[in-house]
Amino acid sequence: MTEKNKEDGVDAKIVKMIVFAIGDQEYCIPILSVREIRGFEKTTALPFAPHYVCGAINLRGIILTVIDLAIYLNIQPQADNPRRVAIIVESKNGVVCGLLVDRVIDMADIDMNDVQAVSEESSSLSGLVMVNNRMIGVLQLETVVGELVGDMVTE
Amino acid sequence: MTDNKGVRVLTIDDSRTMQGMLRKVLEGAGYDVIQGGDGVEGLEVLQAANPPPKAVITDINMPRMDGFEVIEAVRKLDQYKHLPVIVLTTESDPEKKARAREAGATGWIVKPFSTESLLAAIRRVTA
Amino acid sequence: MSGDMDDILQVFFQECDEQLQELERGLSALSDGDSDHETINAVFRAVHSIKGGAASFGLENLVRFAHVFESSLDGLRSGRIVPTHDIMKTFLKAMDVLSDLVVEARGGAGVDHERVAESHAELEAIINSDGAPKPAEDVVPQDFVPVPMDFVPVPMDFEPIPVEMDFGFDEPAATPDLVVSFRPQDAMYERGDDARNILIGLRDLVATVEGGVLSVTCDTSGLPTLHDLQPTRACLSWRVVLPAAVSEESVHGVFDWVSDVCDFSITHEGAAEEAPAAPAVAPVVAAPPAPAAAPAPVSAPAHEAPAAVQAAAPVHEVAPAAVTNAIAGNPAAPPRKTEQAASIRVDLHRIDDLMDLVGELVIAQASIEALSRRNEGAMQQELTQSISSMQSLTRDIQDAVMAVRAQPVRSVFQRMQRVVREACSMTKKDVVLLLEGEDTEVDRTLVEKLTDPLTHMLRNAVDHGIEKVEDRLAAGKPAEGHILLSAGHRSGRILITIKDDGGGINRQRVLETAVKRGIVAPDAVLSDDEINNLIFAPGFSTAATVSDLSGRGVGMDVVKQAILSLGGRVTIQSVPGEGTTFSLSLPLTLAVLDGMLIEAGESTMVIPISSVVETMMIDHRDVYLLPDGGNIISIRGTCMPLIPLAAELGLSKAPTQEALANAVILVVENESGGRAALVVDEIRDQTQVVIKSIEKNYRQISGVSAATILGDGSVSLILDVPALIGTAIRKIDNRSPNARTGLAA
Repeated sequence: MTEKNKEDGVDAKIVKMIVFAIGDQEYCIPILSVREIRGFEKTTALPFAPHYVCGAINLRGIILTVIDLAIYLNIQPQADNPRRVAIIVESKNGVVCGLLVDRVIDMADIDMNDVQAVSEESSSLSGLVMVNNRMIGVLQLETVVGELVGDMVTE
Repeated sequence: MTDNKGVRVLTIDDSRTMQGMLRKVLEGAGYDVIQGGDGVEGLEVLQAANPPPKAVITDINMPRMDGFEVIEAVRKLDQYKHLPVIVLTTESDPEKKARAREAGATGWIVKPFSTESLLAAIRRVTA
Repeated sequence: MSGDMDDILQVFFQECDEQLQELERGLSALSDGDSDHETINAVFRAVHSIKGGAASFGLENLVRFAHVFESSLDGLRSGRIVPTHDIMKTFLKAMDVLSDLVVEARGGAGVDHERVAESHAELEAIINSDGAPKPAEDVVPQDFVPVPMDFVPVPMDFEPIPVEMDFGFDEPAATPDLVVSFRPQDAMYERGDDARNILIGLRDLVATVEGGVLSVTCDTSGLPTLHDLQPTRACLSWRVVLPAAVSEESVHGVFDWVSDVCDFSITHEGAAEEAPAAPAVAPVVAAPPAPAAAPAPVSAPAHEAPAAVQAAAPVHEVAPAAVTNAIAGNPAAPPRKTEQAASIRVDLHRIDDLMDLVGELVIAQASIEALSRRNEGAMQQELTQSISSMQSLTRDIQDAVMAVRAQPVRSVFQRMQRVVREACSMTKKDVVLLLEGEDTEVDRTLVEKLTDPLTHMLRNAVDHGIEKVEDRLAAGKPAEGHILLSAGHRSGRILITIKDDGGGINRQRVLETAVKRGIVAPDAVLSDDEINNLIFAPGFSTAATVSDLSGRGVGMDVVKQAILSLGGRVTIQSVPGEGTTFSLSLPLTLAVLDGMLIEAGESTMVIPISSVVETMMIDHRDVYLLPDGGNIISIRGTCMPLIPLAAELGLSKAPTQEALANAVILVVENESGGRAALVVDEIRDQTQVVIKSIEKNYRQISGVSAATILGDGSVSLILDVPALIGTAIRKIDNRSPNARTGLAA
């Protein structure tokens, strides 16, 4: 997966992404996995939860947890940001959770062929991509959710 | 088989498997299928049907009201006394056949049936 | 296409399950001496349905076995066979085999072919013994047998199946031209048939002959004048000339079904050749003009009339609501006395959704209620009143939805018959299982989850409860053992008992075994009850020789865990020489729970009321500090662990001894009587909560069983009391092996 692909005229694999900010970093996830975006609300603390889990909220009768992506990704969040929002996402196997981010920036069509891989596969980032001279991380949602539901138990 | 379009057929069988098959075969041939899960329900469906069906396919062995009774009841309805009723059953006992005939059945098909013969039978009574 | 058929195949298997249940119910009733005709019919129909469906899918083994089963049942239906004990046993076994064959057809475990053959032979023996000419022929056509063979290559297609159609298809044979004359009687039209159908049948015959031509003449000479025309009277006859290649036999085939209501003749075109177009003389068999049977009701068949006449025929409005009357007027037609309540089939998910919505309603209502309490305005009283009437409505809706989800325990209970039969044949014992209260209704999720524990408990009862035949006889008991499985409602819970008339628990042996396995100390002094409960201890098995049966099962400890996880309790009563009774007490539903709202570590949590023994303030003099910082509290002489709840759940730091001194505690109890005292910040309220899964979108949390949503929309955790107590007691056990008195789990 390098820029060579593009030069060879490989079919574009456009994915519509929602781009959001955490601290001074930008990340994106496929818009198709997003259910809705909510203002951040009070959560219920959960015993023995990983440190990046804020707690549980009620989304119209479904109980789900909210992940503080800043803590999860180990980034300094914007201080005293009143605009923090929870992006409610659903993973491929139907797990619903909230991702707490500093703010939603915009939407972008990203050609997956342009995404440059980083580190190993199990990483929470599937790669980095340049959009309008901004470096955007493509979040690997399945990894994040997999950790949340305890596929990789961290207790 | 577009000439069957809109031709309505009522199937009465307590087996959902059989009902599923009948629906598939008949709808596949363009028929408009309505169904009843046993004799009593079949008659209710028949009574409520608008437009009325052009033929009935009924099982014999059913709870509450069997196929013979269904045929007899249909024959007593002014609106439907001449409605073709085909029996579809696993039975081939001549006595039962005679009883169906006596009750007023228009035809008799033994399960398992072939798509073609079923459709041929329906075509014949509804054409 | 195959996708569609897969769906139908799934429907078939689902239906098989239902039919097998029906079969089990019917056969049990027959075994109990019920000989109601409708019961026998239901049994017959169940097997018949399975056979019919299986044949359509080419499930050869299933068809073959169902066929012989059905044939033997037909003997029962016609009264040729008397349902003796042995015959019923054969039928019950055949039912098990049939059920195995269904499982196999579904792609599950393979069948025991020997057992199938054995059962098959037993059924055949019944058929051959009933003295009837050949019952099998009654139910299965001769051409049925080869069907399965034809099926094999394309089981999902309808194509290559032989079919008997009385509209007639047959091979043409070389004979001179045929002249077919026919004259339908009124009765033929009354049967919904039409001369046209016969003409089509004949045309189809001709179509099988290359270049064949059909010539048809209609004889209208019998037609009266328009004035005299009776619309229900048949007046026309036809003369049809078919090519020589069409066989006479096949023509008979066309008339087979209508032979009683249509006069017809077949002649070979011979010397006295008649011109096909010859008009006048009708070569019709002399048929009397068949007087109309009944004074013709008004309705125009207009089947045979030429267009002009048809148009002129009186057309009458037909009363649409005639059906009910017609049925009522026919003595054979009214629904049987065994009429069932009308029912519809609903996807379970929809009911679950409905249940969820009702849960939402309860929550929304609680939040309105909370708001109204804060509202001090003039409307306060009216508001409170409206809310309280809404509350009772909500409760009614909740009950109604729960009733929809409720299901009699019958299905599970009846499955136990098989369990006992198999256990008997394995242990060479003779045990009768009696069922009571099968109609008791329980939430369906609970019904499903009861199957495994009950299966094991019944196997255990046959294996360990009921004595060997010689021992029973020696004790002056009947050789045949009895187990009573009963269900009923007791004060808002379901009580299920399994009572055997066996030898009772041999407490001395249980105790010896428990000591040997290190489950209890050699010098321990235990009550009878405590000894009984040892059989639930992990890794316990009293069987001197581990039988085949126990070998494949799970331990009773797993049974107990399963019951506990359903919010249930198990108790044992056992009298030496007289038998043992296991009692299971279960909640009615897994969807709602009566809980106590408490505050701990700035969180509101729910504790199931059923596990709360009492609430009190701590008297600091009763608290004992353990060396590692843990605490034990003595309440009226009983010691139990003192659990600072928030700290235990990692939500706050361990409280200081001073903070503990005057804290509020809840004494909670697990199902086996193990207790602990939970330290909480505040006790708030008692309320009914809707149970919501946490694991669905998260993971299991130790000490928490589920969650709920409170009136203000926030999430609250429901505590897993048995787990909390278990953890606390294990900690103490690890610390001091001698401090177990009064803490037995």
